[in-house]
Amino acid sequence: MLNVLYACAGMGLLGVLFGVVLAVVSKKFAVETDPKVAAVTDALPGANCGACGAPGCAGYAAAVAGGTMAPDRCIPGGNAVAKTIAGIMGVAVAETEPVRAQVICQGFDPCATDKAAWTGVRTCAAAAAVGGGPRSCRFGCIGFGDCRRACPFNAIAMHGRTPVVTDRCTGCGMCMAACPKGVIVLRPKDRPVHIRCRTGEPAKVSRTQCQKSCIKCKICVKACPQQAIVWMSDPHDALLLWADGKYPSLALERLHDLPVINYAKCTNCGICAQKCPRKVIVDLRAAAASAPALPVAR
Amino acid sequence: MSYLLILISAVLINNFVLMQFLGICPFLGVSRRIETALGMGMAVIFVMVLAGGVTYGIQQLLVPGYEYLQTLAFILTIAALVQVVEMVMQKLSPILYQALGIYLPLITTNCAVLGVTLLNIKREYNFVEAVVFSGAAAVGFTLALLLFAGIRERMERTGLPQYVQGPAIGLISAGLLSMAFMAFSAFRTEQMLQDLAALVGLG
Repeated sequence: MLNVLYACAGMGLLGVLFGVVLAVVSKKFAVETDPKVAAVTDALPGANCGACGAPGCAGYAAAVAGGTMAPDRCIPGGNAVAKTIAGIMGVAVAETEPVRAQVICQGFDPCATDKAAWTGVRTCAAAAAVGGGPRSCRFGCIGFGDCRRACPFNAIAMHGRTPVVTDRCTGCGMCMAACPKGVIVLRPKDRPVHIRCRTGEPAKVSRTQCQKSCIKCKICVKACPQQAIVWMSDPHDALLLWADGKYPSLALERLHDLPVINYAKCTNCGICAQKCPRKVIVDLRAAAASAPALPVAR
Repeated sequence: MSYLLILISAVLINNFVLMQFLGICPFLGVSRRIETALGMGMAVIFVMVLAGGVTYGIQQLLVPGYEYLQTLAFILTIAALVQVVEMVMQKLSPILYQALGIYLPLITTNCAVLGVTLLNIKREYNFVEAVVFSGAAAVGFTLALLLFAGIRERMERTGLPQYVQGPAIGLISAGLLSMAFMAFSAFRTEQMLQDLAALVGLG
């Protein structure tokens, strides 16, 4: 019996000894950290997606507390997080319209076809590096799911070779960076009308490549009652629209000779979608009412 | 046994991960990429050498009749030691802390660290031998981790069928790697060990 007591006492003593050592060391070697860093870190979503430009949430928190980055750069967190962080830092931020990823290509089977069979590594980046990729349209989606693998929020599902952005999307833009074809872009959230083609080919060529390709007819520009559709003919147009504040990514998209909706003017009427002869402009309200559910496969 | 033989034996013939199956958790968990595997390996080498030395001292404190407290005392010591090292490192060398810091808490309750300290006592090593054996065991752990991480990095790029992706093929290849290392157990005698040492250019 006494042995058990000795054992307990011995181990207890050892524990207390280590406890004291730990306490002394933690006092003596304490690292002073800015309490704001911890507060900002707590306010962030913690997905470490990198959309703000800093390496992870901790890096962004340190940069905000250090004053080198603005408090409204967390895209997944949106306005709510920006307000919280601004409150911690004691500065004001302006509201921005939340964004989400949109796939601006409908060239999946059977609209476009494969011009060659790809037997290499099944990533879009690898396929795109060989002769512009295996698809009939060199501007279109390859469909090997680089965007799905890049998404830190599991928001992109592959229906066969069709990427589908789900409601989990936070608009961080990681998919946009991963897509070698630039067919994923950021657009204002909750907008039903989208232009889904980015071909740079003239009508004669694009007509043969894909059933749903833009043929540069500009009917949409003429049809819009709000004059909200802009024809991009040189990079300057992109900058002007981008300055309107509704396009976080437009300056990076390199769109040329294509229509773009200015969402600052757009009233979601959907007339352009009805008029487009190539079904390049989609109205998600009409699509949701008529389309059958796609089979889910990974 | 000379220090050289302790080294070769711990790294190749009785490799902690692939022959004695200690430290399997980080072996499977932190072997996705070679850089993280290397970071983990360096942290393990650091902690194992320290723990091997410190627990050797703790063993001297255990009065005869109370040896059964060895495991408990060693776990307590290792956990406290890692915590202290983490705090001191954060203060004195932030660069080293950034490189090893995130791995240190993972090692706190790593069975490979506990295993090496218990084996030190069981094999009745003296202090220097214990430290050498601890370091060698950690080097063996790092070697296994790096080999495995290299294999997994390559496997990521091959179009594996979905039903063997991830942990399934990980366990299969870990088994094959372990079988490959079992060939080293052919070196059973001390003479053979010395031949092996000469073969790898250490003798």
